[in-house]
Amino acid sequence: MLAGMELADKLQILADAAKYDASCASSGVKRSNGGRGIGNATGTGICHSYTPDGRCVSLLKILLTNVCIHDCHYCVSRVSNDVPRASFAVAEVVQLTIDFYKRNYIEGLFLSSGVSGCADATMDRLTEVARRLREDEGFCGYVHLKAVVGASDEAVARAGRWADRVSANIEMARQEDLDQLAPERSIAAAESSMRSLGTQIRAARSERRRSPAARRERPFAPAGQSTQMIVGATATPDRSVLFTANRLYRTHRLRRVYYTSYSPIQSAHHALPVKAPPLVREHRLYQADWLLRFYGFEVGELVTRADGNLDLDVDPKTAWALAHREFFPVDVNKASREELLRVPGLGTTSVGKILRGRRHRSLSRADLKRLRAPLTRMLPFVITADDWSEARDIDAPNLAARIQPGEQQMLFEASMSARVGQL
Amino acid sequence: MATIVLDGTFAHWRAHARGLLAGEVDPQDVTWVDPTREETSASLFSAPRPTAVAPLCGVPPRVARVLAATLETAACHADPSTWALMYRIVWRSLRTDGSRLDLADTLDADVSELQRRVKNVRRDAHKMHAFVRFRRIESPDDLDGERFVAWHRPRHRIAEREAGFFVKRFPSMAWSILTPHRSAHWDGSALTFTDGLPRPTAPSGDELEALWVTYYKSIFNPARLNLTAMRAEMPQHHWPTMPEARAIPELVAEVPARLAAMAETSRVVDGSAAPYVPATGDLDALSAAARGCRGCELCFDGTQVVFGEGRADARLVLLGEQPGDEEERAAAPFVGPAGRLLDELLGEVSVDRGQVYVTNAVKHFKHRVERTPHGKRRIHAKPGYSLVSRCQPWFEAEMAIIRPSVLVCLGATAVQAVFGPSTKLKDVHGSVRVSRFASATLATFHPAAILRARSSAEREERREALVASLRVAHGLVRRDGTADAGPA
Repeated sequence: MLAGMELADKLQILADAAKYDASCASSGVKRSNGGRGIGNATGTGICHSYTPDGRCVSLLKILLTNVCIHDCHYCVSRVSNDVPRASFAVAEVVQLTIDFYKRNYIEGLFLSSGVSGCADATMDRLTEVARRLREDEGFCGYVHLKAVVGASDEAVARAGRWADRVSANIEMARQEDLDQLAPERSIAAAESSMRSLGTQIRAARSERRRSPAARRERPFAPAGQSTQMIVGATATPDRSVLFTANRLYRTHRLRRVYYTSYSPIQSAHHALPVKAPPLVREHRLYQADWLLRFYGFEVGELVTRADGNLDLDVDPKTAWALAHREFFPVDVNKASREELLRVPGLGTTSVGKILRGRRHRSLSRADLKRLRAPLTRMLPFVITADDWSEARDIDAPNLAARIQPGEQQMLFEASMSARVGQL
Repeated sequence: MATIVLDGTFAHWRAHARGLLAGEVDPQDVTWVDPTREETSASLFSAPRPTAVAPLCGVPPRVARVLAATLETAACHADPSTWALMYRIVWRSLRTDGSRLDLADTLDADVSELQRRVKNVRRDAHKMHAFVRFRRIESPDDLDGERFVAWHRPRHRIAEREAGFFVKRFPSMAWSILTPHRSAHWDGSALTFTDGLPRPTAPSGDELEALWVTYYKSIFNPARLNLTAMRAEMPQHHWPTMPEARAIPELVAEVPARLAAMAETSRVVDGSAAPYVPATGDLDALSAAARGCRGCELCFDGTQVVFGEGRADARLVLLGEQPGDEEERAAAPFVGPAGRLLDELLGEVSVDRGQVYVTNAVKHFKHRVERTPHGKRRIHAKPGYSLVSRCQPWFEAEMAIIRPSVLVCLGATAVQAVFGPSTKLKDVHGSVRVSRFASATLATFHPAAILRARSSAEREERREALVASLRVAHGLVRRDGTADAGPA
């Protein structure tokens, strides 16, 4: 590590190392500053900028240090990798967060760290950043702290006192994957952190419901917890990834599971694939995740391929629909909410509009057009009051090809720009 | 047929709408004109003057509170036809016969259009919350002697409506948000509005912007370029007022080169030495195979592999860091200045170098080239642990053949190779330990550390420590009993 390194150099190194964490959400908590101090949290979160990878910049996402004693193969900061190392002082992170926030660049801070010695000491330094922001600076914006690998449940819990969200990364869907790529990590340890955090979050929440005195205190990790899973670094199929995610949602009531495609890094470890999995795989996992949580699908229904993976060419709902044509066509004027939610192209909002709209009239094709939902994808699966010509072709073998062109074009464009490097 | 010229405010429209509704004027008989929102409006002087509000005759109808709030939001829409749409909606919602409009009927053409416009305004408001960029200026009369000023270009007339968001967020800071149509100012206690201002009236920079752009560039992952997604969420309309957007063309242009660089380094490390190590064979076979190793990037430096040297039945192995300049030229370990010193010290404890196997943790010479007045010089560069771990299969193969009883690690790199990346020399210095390579393993200074000592005292101390370790090692070898007996 260079002595007296410039702040800009540190920022470059420690932001670069933090970018592999997918989460940038600043949602899930509402807080006012009572007319004093700085910042607030709006509940829905705000994306203050977007980088050319299409990802949002909501939080100042950095590591406190990228010095790390661990050797997780997929990680750019692993001890065996030759990368420049840097560390922020606690005061530097506090100042940078406030300076950025005052200029409206960010919603808050997402702080993680390599482990540079004792894990609890590292965790306590993250907590100290959050404490100073809250107590010394009167900062009411969003703070997300990452549970440091190997930190005790108590140290992680101390973070919850000041942070809006604390998250422990599970990193891989199966212990076998961790054994291969991150021997020092275990799913059990990550889940132990989640369990202890979950218990405290729920306890604090019910305490607040009961006692007015507790409501005046600072809430414990009010935005709940999330986790991240890397996909594509091993051969583990989507089915395992989704089963693990589903289990975590149910057991620990996580707000979110983030899926991040293994991304090639500078000087990757030789145990890792050289080629990144297609980005669309991550996209499909998120679609499946939503279907599990809000659309009443089960993991077993979504993964139909023999190799246990989601289809990359069609979204999971369309894939399910193409495989279950006996379920269709669905009459938009009669079907239940559950049935409508299974129609490709119809989301929860559109279904709500249909249910409200059909109280007033019999829905026709023109009405569906006003939903601003993808008509080409939807029409073969529905009957409207005036027309069901397209739904007659529900058994056509070329149905899959007919409803897909838009998406393919988008992916093609993205890969084109990647190759030529032009806007 | 009535024509009403509006001054662009919701209050003005509302006052007229109340009068028209009280008079039961059908929407088809009203033309709304809003010179403040006509794209082609000529000069202010030729624009028609706003129509004065006539006193109410009749009782204006009451409108549901939800609808009133929706209308107020829709009124921010830049399209002047919104005023007519709003009046039509209110008119239809007040019918008492079967044609009465139900606002919950979101698939009605008017309701759907109103909702679309409300959505546009809300989205614009959200983008304003997100994309306003303050620049700090010295301002002695303000709180803490500073004011934060932004110039923002919303698509709709939302500056007044959204000022409250910034009051809530930045209550204890003086700020101004300037837009082309309206400007909002906060001094810590009162919110005021002035006319729109052109861009040059706003400050042109801020000391923090360079850091912000650094952050923006670092958080971008070139392996995931997706411009469609970026443009969808961050329309180019807003780029001119966002400092980080200036970096976008450069970031995008660099992508192919950065991807190629990643593939290049990843291609090399796709190996590690392991695939190149022969499964069977003696030390000579290993040494020959090592010349073809492509396990790390050092093989592209044009330097020779310097493999270990000594007898296959040696009981004592000395492990160094990596070959130096002279070693690389000679393709033999420990023949440069440090090697000559090592020979001298081995002599002091009566060890014959011919009985010892000497090797290095890294088999290539990692260096940088320095230009001096006398030409180029190759300067030693410390190999990181990644190089050590990638070269490790060679050392493991050497040890599997020799199976020494005593192993001496010379220096910190050798210690890492034997005890792992987090072990430091001082942790194991001087003691005899068991390692997976030899039942007796010692760690001590590298002879080069003696040559580099900064004082004679330090030099003497290190020399003594190294000699002591070699003496211990020699003693252990003799006690092991096989060294003096020689090969059986």
